[in-house]
Amino acid sequence: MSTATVTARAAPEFRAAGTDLSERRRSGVSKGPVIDIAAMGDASIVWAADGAVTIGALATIATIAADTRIKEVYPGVAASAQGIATPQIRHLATLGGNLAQRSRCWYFRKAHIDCLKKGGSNCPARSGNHLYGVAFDLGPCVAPHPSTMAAALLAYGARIVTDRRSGLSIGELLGDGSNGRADHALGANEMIKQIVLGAPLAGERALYKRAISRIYAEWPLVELCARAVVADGVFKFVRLGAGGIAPVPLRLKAPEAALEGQRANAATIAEAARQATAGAKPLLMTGYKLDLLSGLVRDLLEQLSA
Amino acid sequence: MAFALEQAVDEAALRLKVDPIALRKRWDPDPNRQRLYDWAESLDVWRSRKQGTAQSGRYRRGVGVATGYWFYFWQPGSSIELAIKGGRIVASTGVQDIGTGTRSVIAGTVAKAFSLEPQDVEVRIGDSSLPEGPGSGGSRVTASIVPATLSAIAKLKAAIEKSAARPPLVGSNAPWRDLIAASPDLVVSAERPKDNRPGPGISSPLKQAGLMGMIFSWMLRTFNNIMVGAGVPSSVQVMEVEVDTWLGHVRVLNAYIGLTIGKLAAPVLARSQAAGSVIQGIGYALYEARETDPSTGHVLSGNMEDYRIPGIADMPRCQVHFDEAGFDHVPGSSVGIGEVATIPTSPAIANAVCNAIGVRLTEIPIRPDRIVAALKGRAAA
Repeated sequence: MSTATVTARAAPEFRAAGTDLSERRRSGVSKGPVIDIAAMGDASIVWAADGAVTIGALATIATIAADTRIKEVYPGVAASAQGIATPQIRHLATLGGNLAQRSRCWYFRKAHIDCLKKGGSNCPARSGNHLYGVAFDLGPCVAPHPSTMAAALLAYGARIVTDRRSGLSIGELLGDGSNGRADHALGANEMIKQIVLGAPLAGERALYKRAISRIYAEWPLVELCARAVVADGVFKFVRLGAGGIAPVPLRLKAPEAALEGQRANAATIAEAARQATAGAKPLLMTGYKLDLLSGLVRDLLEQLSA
Repeated sequence: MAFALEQAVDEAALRLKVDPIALRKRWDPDPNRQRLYDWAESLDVWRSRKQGTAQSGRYRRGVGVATGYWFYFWQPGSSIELAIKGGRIVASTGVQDIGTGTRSVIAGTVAKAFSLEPQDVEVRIGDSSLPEGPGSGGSRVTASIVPATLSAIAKLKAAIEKSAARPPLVGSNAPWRDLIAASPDLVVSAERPKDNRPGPGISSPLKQAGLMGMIFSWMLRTFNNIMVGAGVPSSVQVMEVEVDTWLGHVRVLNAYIGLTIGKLAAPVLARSQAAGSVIQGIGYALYEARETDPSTGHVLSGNMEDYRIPGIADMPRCQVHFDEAGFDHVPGSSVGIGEVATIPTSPAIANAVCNAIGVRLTEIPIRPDRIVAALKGRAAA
């Protein structure tokens, strides 16, 4: 497809902080009109009487990472925010932008290579170099969803409010991964306005970690936000939101089921780590992500049960 | 190549059940590296290294050693002009500073000879209308420009003394400063002199390589205007790593960097350049990869986000050991650092990883995907 067709078809894009969009504008991947929303959005953090919170879509990642009450009530959300990118990016980038950002796929990011997300007919990464691709192959596009916050919000069962709809789950916001052409399931010009987190459970704890090659500042190979309530030596409640492994963030329901109601010991955790890869369909180059996923499940659950 | 060769040596030592440093000492005649082997062997981290014991548990530590060498290159015709202008020394040469401190080397060399501070010397470089300087590449700049500067210093001293209206005040604690301040404008220049005769057992590695070495040496001299001098700038490095076997993460904890590159022309910068070379070596070992599409050859990692280099948190503690002997036949006794200090880093890390997890990684970068694959004995991605 020619560049001209891309331009003609391109819907306007919203620009919040522009940490993702600016790069795509410069590289030529994004050529359509831009609607600046930085000045017109909501960046507030509003607490309800029952302990729930509503976060404006333009709240920055750094604000969320540093907010003392979020750190206390939703530690998995704060830790996920802290794990993202670099201090400079976190300082500017917004929660809404993190959810609506585009894929990090090498092929998508090259203006001169066709791919599904640019109106092409196939995924060049599938037959090409997909070292950082999905290990749960759920759709025609093999790029993992880039949003770290989405995996955390999935673990917390957050709801999204847009300018048209409210009460959207992360699954409804981002889809099930079967549409390789989009990174989210928002309508044309539909804008994320707020993110609503319900009141936490009594005694819950949460952690976040990403597996990467450096210490900081790298897109996750695999990442995990884990919430758990451990009482009387038993996992009463577990939620696992994983990123980097599928076209959308995934709830790991098999290990959740393997943990809930079981003794919080090494054997239970080992079984959960084994089940973390249930339903996985790795590509030729992404089998390693399953080992990393098991490792992360084991790591975070050991810490949560300690 | 060092990544493969130095791992092969390590593997040989492992199979022969010989200490890898002891094995190198046995077959490597180079006097510079022999002294560095002695230093490396004496390190506590080396002496307490566990060999051949299978570790278990999530985090495993290992210690590895590797050696590397580079050529002592210098560029004939490299020249420098030293002038007194308005009571101040100005050094001019058509060299450039690519971030390794060429300006400081020149300023420091001149300042030291006249008991001045480096900031008292104005250095003009980066202009091809200046006297011909060496090209920046192959670790040749210091070894080319310092000897020329020393020759020019001797000429300038003679010229200043000859033209001085009166000798410095008796008891002056800065006789050269006084003379320079009172001196009329002067200009001298000097070209890189030849080396003195090296001590016994010190020769160019190309000479040791026989006919092929002679041909290569002749080609470098004829087509690249580069001389290969006697003596082998060498490095022996010991790396301590920790491997997270669950998440495939390798962290370099401590880097012990032994170097023989003669006397330090600028000690602070030399340490910084040695550490910088090791940082580059860590990037090469653990992060840097030119990813391409297998069918079209498109480079997919052609930016600083996807082509990863080390960050500050990835840095080990660096201990740099300079053994300053071995280049006394070079005027100034200083040769280059950059290349030689980066060569042994990646194999030393790979050898340390092997020491930690008992599996040898033959591909770089040693990323999490390769570590978890190695631990499973499965083909890497």
